[in-house]
Amino acid sequence: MTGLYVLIKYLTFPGALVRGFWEQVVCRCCKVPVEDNRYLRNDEMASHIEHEFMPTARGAFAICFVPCLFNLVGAFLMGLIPSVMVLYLKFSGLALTLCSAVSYWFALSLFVNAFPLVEDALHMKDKVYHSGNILQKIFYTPGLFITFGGAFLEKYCLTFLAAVIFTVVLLLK
Amino acid sequence: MDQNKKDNELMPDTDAEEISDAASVEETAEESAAQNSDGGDQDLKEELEQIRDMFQQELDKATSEAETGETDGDSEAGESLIQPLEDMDPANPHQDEDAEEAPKRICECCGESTCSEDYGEDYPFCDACRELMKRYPLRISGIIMCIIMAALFVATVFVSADYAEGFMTVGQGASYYDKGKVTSALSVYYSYLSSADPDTVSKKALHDTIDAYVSNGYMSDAASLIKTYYDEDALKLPWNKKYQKILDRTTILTESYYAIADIIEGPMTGEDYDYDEIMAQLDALKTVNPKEEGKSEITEKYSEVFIEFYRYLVMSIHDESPETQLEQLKKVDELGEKDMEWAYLASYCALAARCSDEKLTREIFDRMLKNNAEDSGAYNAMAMYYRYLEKPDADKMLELSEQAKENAYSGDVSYLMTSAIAYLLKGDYETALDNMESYINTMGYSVQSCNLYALCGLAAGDDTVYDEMKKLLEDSGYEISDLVVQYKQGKMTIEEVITDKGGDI
Repeated sequence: MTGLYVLIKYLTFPGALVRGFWEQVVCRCCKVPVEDNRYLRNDEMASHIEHEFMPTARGAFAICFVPCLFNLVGAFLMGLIPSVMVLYLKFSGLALTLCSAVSYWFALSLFVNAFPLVEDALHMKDKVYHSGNILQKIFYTPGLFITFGGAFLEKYCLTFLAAVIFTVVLLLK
Repeated sequence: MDQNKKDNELMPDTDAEEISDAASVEETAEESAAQNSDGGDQDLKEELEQIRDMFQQELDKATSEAETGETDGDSEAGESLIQPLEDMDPANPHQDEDAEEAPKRICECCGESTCSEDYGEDYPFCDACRELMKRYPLRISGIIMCIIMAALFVATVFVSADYAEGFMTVGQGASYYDKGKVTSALSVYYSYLSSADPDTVSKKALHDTIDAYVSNGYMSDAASLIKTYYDEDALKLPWNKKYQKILDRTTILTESYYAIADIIEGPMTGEDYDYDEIMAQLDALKTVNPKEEGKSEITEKYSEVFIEFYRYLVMSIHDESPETQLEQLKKVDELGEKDMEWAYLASYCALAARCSDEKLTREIFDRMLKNNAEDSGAYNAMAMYYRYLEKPDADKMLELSEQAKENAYSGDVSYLMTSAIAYLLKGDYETALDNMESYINTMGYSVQSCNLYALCGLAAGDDTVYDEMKKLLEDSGYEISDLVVQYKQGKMTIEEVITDKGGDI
């Protein structure tokens, strides 16, 4: 499984690099030590950086949710025009097709690499529900569910599968 | 005494002195007992017991103070007292001191400073490195990738801006088409395709339009579009086979139509025609192979659905009973060619309605709406069901004609004929006449509309309309319907004429 996981990370390396980058940015903002900032590695840490666990509920939530949010927003923006104009409405033209093909690959890679490591997600859940106050529990819950679920989907390469299915459905529609 | 010595080594100095004092008291007592052996054993025994109790008290006190660490001596001595003896190595009594002197762990990062123990025993970095790791430099690859993505996004937006107008139009058409509103979708797509550049055209608009043309029977329009956008080489590609098949199908249908026309057009123009002979000839067409006979390049068999549908039309012209006609259309439907439903479904629904087969009428009505949610013909056909009921429901007919009006495409006013019939049933003859007048002004004259217009004129007391329509039909080689004539002669009521199942007006 790790082999497939790493292969997908290399196939979608633009999103993996961006994901790792945002994760490190959040670590710097939260002043959390980063032990290894290689964004692409040949193990399950690919597209993630090695950092210490966040000491607070807010930090634990931020390290999971903020890179995820940025990647998903990026995936939406990059994928909107190719999805609608080229895959669905099937407009032709060389320039549009080329730009859209690369944009769509970037969008796909951003989506596939959007979610946090399962360990980070578990730590976030633990911090929010055991150390967080009631407002944090309420406010963080929607994001927590998205990132927590996404982390498990990503671990088993299901985000990649979902992206492929979405593409095929759009093409056939 | 050996035991006392050993105890002295383990205990702090103060405790050892106390225990040593107690031991000397014990020795004194033993000497005294030996000297006074004859002084009475009882006294000696009591004295010894007192000494033993005192000794025991002193020993207990010293042990208790050593264990609780509340003695006057330092605490390290107390700790050494409670250390289990079995943990001690007699060969190396200074083992604890050796452990304290073990070398400290070195930071994995700088390799110089000792590891910080503030973050756990195994923490591998020193405080200084930890502070530096909080400001670990961002990798240039991540920054470059973010910049590339932003630049590509802007480029894609600029490139797609040229398509904005087409995007809006096609988007609207696609929305209609996906909701099943084929008529509206075709209208929007048509306006787009008529001005689109073939190099940048939306394939969705093109494909939807071709599919809609095929499903509505506009085969020649579909073929024309395919020939405009696909050359011969493109049509040979595997994913374009579908369009080559449509072209072939159009050819087969066209050749089938001409073959059928050769059989029925000539003989059926006059009154005297051999019905059975025509039907037999149509039946025989099914076994002909035009390609073998050199009449066609691709058609190996004429369209069976087309042949059977024309057999139904011949039956209709020959005034066969509605039930017989319905059976014929059932036969057509059983052939299961979905892309030919446009040819017979409306007639099938109207016939099922005329035969008062509610289940079948509704089934066909639903199929028509599934093919095109805006099929006004489906509502008009369904209205016929309420027309031919034992007690016609004019209000329901008007309701359905209103729905037909809502779904009619521009220029389609067939709902006016439905509402005219409903108003005739309700006895509102003036409105019925107005509706038919509007219908004819828009759609023009047909045998059916002329007869119905004449009937409305008679019902409204305007005989001039009847005379005009009678003359118009006779000039065109037709005669006014017997039903209308019988109504004029007073032999039938308006309701009897409208609900007569033997033949339409």
